[in-house]
Amino acid sequence: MTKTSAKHQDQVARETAAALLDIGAVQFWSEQPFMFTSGLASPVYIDCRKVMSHPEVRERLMGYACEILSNRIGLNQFDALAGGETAGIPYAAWMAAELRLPMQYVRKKPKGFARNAQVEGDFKPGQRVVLIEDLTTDGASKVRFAQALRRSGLRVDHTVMLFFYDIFPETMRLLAEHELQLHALATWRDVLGVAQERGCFEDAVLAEIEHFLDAPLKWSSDHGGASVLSI
Amino acid sequence: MTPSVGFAPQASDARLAASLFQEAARRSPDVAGISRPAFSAKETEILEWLRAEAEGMGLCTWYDAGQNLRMCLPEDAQAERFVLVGSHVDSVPMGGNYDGLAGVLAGLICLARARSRGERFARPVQVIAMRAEESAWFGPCYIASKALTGALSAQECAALHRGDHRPLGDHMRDFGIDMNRVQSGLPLIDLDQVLGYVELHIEQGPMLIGKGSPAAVVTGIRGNFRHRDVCCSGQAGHSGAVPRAFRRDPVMAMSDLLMRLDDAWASIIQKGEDLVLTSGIVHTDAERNAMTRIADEVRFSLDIRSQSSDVLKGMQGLLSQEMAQIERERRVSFALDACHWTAPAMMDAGLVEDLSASMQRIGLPVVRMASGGGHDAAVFANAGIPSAMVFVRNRNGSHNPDEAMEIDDFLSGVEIIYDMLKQSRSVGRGA
Repeated sequence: MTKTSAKHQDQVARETAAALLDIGAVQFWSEQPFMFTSGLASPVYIDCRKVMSHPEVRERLMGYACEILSNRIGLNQFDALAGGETAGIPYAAWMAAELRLPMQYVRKKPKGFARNAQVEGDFKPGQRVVLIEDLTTDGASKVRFAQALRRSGLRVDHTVMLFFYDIFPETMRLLAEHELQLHALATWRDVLGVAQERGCFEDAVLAEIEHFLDAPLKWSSDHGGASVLSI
Repeated sequence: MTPSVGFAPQASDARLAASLFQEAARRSPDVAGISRPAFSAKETEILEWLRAEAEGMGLCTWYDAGQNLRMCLPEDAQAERFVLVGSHVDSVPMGGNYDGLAGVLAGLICLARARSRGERFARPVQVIAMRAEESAWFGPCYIASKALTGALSAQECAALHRGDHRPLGDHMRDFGIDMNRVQSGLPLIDLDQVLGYVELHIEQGPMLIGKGSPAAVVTGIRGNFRHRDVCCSGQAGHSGAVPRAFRRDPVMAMSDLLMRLDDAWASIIQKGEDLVLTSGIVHTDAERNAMTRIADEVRFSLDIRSQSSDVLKGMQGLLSQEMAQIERERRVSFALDACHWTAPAMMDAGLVEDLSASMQRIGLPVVRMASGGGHDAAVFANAGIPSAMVFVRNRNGSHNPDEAMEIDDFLSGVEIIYDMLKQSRSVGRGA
């Protein structure tokens, strides 16, 4: 990777973080922690689905995501985009429209037991797809989506998303084990950096978030959430 | 097990506490754990035993208008106004020995200690050992405290006992409680006399384990609404012969409802709201139904709790909305039984401060937390009595035989309350 592209990547991360803060997609803890489906308690919550309601932000972030597809992955490396149910679907659709690519979507649960019961749309065995998502916390659902796509005969090596928590060392190991490369526009560190610069949150709140980002499972168990990650 | 911080209980207190807990357990055995049914002879036996113990310590004892045991120092017996300290002695079937009883013994040990040391409390103190707190026996919960504060509804009085199917009101009348008063919604006692209510309780969730603190001061208590017996009816049929489109299967409908509620739950807590929900009883009639028969009816319970009234109201709305939707989609019908509602309660800010100060004084780190379970303290708080609670670390949850509270942790909790009762003259400033 060249120096300029690293610099550009950093710029993209900051702009994405700023945009997410601007549209109120990031919420910070006040009294009750947020509880994720995995049981993890968190002082921060991000709702990337809000991006779809803001055309200007959406267009910019979709532009960045398409840059990842063309510059980091390479347009000749894949044939189609697959959106993850539910929030990945609109983003996959916009990117597929922009790049004039075929698209599928992959379900959280199979509908029935046929080999392709979890993938909707037309596809050929051996087709190479990139999994598109809104965000990932621990990576577990990306792996499940990739497995479902692979069971249907598709090849998946990359997943692209707007936001990546990037707080669990286990995530990268898990993704590597399943031969899945993750590309995200921004992480919590980027959001925290922009929030700190702007001074729009109290120091105590930011300190709490630091604690969480540094030791998420400890913060979680101290606040009534899960103390182990089962991914 | 021993608190990792600077508080060492006295050996004599530890011996007394251990022997009292042991004796209570010995007197109330069940197949597993212990059983002290609400408004039962067993409950009375436990109260009588406590009464004898208290009198042996030179304390005054009597039964109040709710037939709960009261105990106090002889010098406080005539006090106009007093701080109430206590909890309940009943338990769920095959329950644990500490849920409830720990709060009563905490109060008793405070009195015993003051008596033996010749110490006085800042304000007069009465200890209350209440009956009937658990919902397992009649359906309604916090029966004794609701009756005392005039909050037990006519509908709750009509709730039937799980064993003999006689209404709660009849049972209470048998125990000598003035049911005309209760059913008119009048308090059984003069609430103005109660300066405040303080209750020690084992923590029923996993929050204190591993925190390095044996106890916590409670800031608020989850409220709840409950349906003990929801019925979903459809149409019976042969499990092989009826195609899907022709079915009106109440079991599928109930599952659908529960999964919808579960989805809503996940989204609500993801947004930082407080909510827990449980369907602890689920059954088709085993006499009438079979593996090869589509059931005609399924019955289940719902227990929905939150610290926020708005969330509870929202869930009530969602419940009826989803039931209506499922009724249309699956051609079944839901019948809700009476709804038992307990409002969430805030603990008194002054008392929370006082208890926190006591924690600090005796060398414990100040830990504050909300209570997941409901307690009598919520009823007193909602009756306008400044109320507070101290939670004691406990493994394995509650309502089961494996409750595991260390006596040293319990005594840390007792010490917090004892210190507060001795030091705080401001109890009940809001009263």
